[in-house]
Parts: sequence; C-alpha cells; structure tokens
Amino acid sequence: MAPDGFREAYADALDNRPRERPRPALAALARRPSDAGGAFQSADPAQPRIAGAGPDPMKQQIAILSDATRPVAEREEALATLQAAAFMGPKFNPYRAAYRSALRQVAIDADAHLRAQALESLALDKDDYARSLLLDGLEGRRDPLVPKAKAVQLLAHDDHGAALSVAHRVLDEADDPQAQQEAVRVLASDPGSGSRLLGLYRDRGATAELRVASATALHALDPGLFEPEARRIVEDDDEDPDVRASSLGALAVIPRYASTRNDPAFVGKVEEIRNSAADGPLKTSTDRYLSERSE
Amino acid sequence: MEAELSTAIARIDAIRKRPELRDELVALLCERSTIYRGLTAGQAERLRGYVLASFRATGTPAAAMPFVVEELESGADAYAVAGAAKALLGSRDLPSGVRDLLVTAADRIAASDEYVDHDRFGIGGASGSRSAHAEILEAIVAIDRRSHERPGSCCATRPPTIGPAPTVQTPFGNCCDGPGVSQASGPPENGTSIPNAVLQDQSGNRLGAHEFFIGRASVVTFFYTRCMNPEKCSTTITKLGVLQNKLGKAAIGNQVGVAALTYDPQYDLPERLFRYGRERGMIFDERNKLLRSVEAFGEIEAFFQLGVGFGQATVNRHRIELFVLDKGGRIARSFLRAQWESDDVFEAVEKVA
Repeated sequence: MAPDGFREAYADALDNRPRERPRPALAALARRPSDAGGAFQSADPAQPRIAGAGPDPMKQQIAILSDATRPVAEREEALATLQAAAFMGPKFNPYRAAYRSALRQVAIDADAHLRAQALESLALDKDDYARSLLLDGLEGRRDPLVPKAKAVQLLAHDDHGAALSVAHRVLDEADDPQAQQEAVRVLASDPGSGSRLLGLYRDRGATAELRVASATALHALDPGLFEPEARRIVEDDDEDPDVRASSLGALAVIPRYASTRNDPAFVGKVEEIRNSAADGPLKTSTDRYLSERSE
Repeated sequence: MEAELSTAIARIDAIRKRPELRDELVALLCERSTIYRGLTAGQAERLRGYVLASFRATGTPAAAMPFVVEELESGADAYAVAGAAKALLGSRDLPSGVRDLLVTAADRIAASDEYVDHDRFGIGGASGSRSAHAEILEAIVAIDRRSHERPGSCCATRPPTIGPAPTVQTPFGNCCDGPGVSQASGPPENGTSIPNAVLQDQSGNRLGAHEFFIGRASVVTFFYTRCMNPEKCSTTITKLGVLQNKLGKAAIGNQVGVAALTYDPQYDLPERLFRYGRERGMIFDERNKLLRSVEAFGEIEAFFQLGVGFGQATVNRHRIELFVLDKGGRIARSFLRAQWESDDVFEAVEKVA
C-alpha cells in the first residue's frame, strides 16, 4: 500500500474508534490558567483553594481513588482520570503529592487489578516505596501484591540495578517461565551479567522464548558479545529455528551489525538457509536479511 | 547493609539531640560515605535528605552549606531538596541568591512532589502531611520574614567563604571534599599527576591517560549515561559542548584537551559514549573525547577523590565535578558541587594552557 493509503486508513480508523467517555475533571483541569500550577499553588490542606472554583475536581478524583468503600469500577475510573491528568504537566503539579500518596495507599489495596495499576504507575516513576513492596513480595517478607513475573517486570523499570539479586534468583529457581523472561530484561542493565545472558542465549535446554529474551538483553547490554553468538546460531542447522530466526532478524535490521554483510561466507550461508528452509519465521528472516543487503 | 543503615540512622537521630556533634552530619553528606554503599539511588537520596533536614534541629555549620546549595541548585529528589530547604533554616547566615535557589528548586521538584516526613526515617508509605513543595515554600516565607524583621541580616551580599569540610572521623568513613572545595577556593595543593590508566574513547580507541592528559592543559569532568538527573550529567555534557565551542574559537583552543570520563565504565561502552555525547552537541577528535577506563577505575577515583557512591550495579549518587589539569596532568583547579560556568572554566584553563 502506498503511504497515502496508510494515512487514509489510519484516519478512517480514528474516525470510527469508540469515543472515549468524557472526563469532566480532566476538562476542568485543562481549562485552568497555565500558571495555576506555579510555585505558590499547592493542593496541601494548609494552602488556600483557588477562589471561586467550587469543589476541586482533581481532589475529588483522588478522594474517590483512595476510598476503599467505593465500587472498584468508580475507583478505576478515577485512576484513569488521574493518570491522564498527570500528563498535563504543571497544571497537575498541585496535586502530585496527594496523588502519589493515594497511589501508595492503593498499592496495597484489596483489589488486585487496582493494586497492579497503582504499582505500575509508581514503578514507572521509580518510586522507592513501590520498589520495597515488590521486593518484599518476591522475597517472602509479605504476601505478593502482583504475580512474580509482573513484579520483576515493574522492578526492571529502574535500570540502576535495584532488582538484580532478585532477577538472578528468579532465573535460578526456574519455576516460572514468564518471570524468567522478565528477569533477563533486568539483567540487560547489569554489566556483570553478560556471561549469564550469553549462557542463557546458548542454552539449548532453555525455551526459545527465554533464549530470545536473553539475546535481546545481551544485544542491549553488550553488542560485542551478542554478534558472534548470533552468527554462530544462524549458521548452525541444528539450532532452534525460532532462535535462529530472531538472531538473523537482529543482524538484518540493526545497523551496528551491517558488517556481517561483508562476510561472503556468512551471506552464502543465509542464502543456503533461504533455499532450504520451509516457509516460516526463519525463511522470512533470510528474505529480510538478504533484501536489506541488496538495498 | 541493613544493619549498617540502621546504625547510621540511629546515629543521626542521636546527633539531632546533640547539636555539638553536628559536624559528623557534614561527613555523612559525602557520597563516598559507607552509609550509602549498596543502596539504590532512591534510598541514597532519602538518606541524604534526612541528614540535610537534621540541620534544622542542630543548626547548619558553614561546611554544610555547599551541600545544601548543591541540593537546591541541581537536586531532583523531592524529599532531599525539601531537606535542604530545612537545612537553610538552620543557618544564621545565608548565601546570596538563596531565595532564587529555593524558588527554582520548588519549581523543579513540583512534578515529582510527595508528602515528606523528615522527623523519622522511612521509605514511602503514608507518611507526612506536608508536601516537599510546601516545605520549600515555607522556607521561602521564613527567609522573607527574617529579611523583613532584620533587614540585611538574611542573605549575605558577598559570595560565601566556604572552607574545606572538617575531616571528621566517623564510623562511616572520613569525608573531606578534597582538593578545591568550591569555586571560592584557590587552587589546591596537589603535586601528583593523573595515573596512567588505560582508557578507551567513544570510537573504541585505546590510549593511556598520559597520552591525553600530559603535555597539554585539559578539562576533565565526570558523568554516566544512566544518570537520571537532567540537571547533572546531561547538562554537564551539554555544557562541555558549549565549552568546546568557546575553546574552538580561542587562540588556546588547539592546546587544550576536553574530556569526560564515565563513572560507569563497564556499562558505558564506546557506542553509548558516542551516542550520548553526539546527542548533546559534543565534537570528537584527538583533543576532545568521552572516555571509559578499561581497568582500574579505582586509580582514577582515588586521584580525583571523586564524589560518587555506588549501589548494586551502578552509581547511586554523585556530585557535579570538573577539574582543570595543567600540562603535567596535575589538578590546577576544581569545580565541585555547584553548576560551573564555561566562562569560569575557560578562564581557569587559560592560566595553565
């Protein structure tokens, strides 16, 4: 399809999408003067409200979210409104402290879905309280608030290594494949984990999904370690076809690995794979690699 | 680690009741202090904020002021910045421009505001009924009131005279800001040359430190690509690009080296260095480099007495630090903690070029 065709199809999809429910609290926040979130405005109880504004819609949303006696659907709606409002920059600043406090409260709520959403918002903000809750759950100091894989995924948002020891333990325990995949993502930020990631990438006893996740993490951490192993796997006809396909896909699209195309032996091997492989991801990868080469 | 942290907190709480021991708190603000070892960045910031806020009770010694000003000028953690605002209120003599610092700090942390409780140490949870932003505003109001009640008493009209931090022995390490505590200090006494560590630049070329730093004057600063505080490393490298531009137009330009070394050499491989510098306007050539140490970062760390602490995997806290080296690779001038201006650095390097 030509680019104009894609553009028209996208515009049509936008026109036909279900309209979002109107959120009056968001609209009210948007209508506030742009300097309303300046240095001398605050949502603290000690600070004066904006004169003539009536009940503050954002404060109401925070109150609804925090109120465990309210129906969950109402609280989820309030959370969605607040999450959207948080993107409105300075206009939302007067409410941030109260919002964060509410999120921390909801992080240990009785409702699992609300808890997960609150923890996700906090984790994306690298909140230390959320980090401690997630670690406590993984290390048995409290009942887990979210499933193991989710906890590891959320901890990985902080690439300063807060979850390293937990990630290694999850990989050692090997009882939760999804959690293991999240754990290798944590290792992508740890220079000391290059050899472990390489080992997982090579491990034919591991699932293809885990090996591919390890490859992705290894590429992010140390491309110099990733490339020779990726080439070796592609060239090995006894290797898992999905792992070969992902490896070749990375070599095809990532500019850093373009030099593989200067190796006639490697290119020749990829052509051989294309000619012999059945239709599927591996063949598609060879087509991709060879078509990139000819461009 | 937990036990050491608990011991440190207990000690801080004890000092809060004994102001005559407040110099120990200054030592605890140094990034190299063992109390921060292994902590996450968030934990380290929280602990620093707790120490800073303690000065409200003990009074704020002059030696603490560079740390307080630093936090207000470039801190990104709401709890820590609010702690620094409280520390200001513990001081009788305030540096010039401190009110503007507070206003800027309030705006900076507004997007990450949270309720804070500096009375007892804890991590998050439903603690505190005042926001960090409100605490900073209260400090502004208090300073304004002080200035009104005693005109001329509030803020010094001269730049602060800040001497070296006291070398206080504590169970958590000895802290001194090392050569050249602040821009107000004169050149430090340091006769040794930078160690000839093996370095690698952003293009992957290996070289000895002496190859780059001996035989010409140079400017060297420190950073890491995973720094989450935009007021620090990102700003530092961007400003380094501005300095390069200034030097490029000056007569001494081709006699001066400009370099930044990463605190995180295992992670900041050449490709990352290249991308980080290029995105911030740095030029690269034989005199202008981003560098990682290939081995023995400890030698570099010890030579510069770097203000950096490490968590499990990487940096958890660092100060802003830039050094001017003479042709012998010796430290001629240090710019520590406060944001440096490229004009001041240019002037310093002109003297040794």
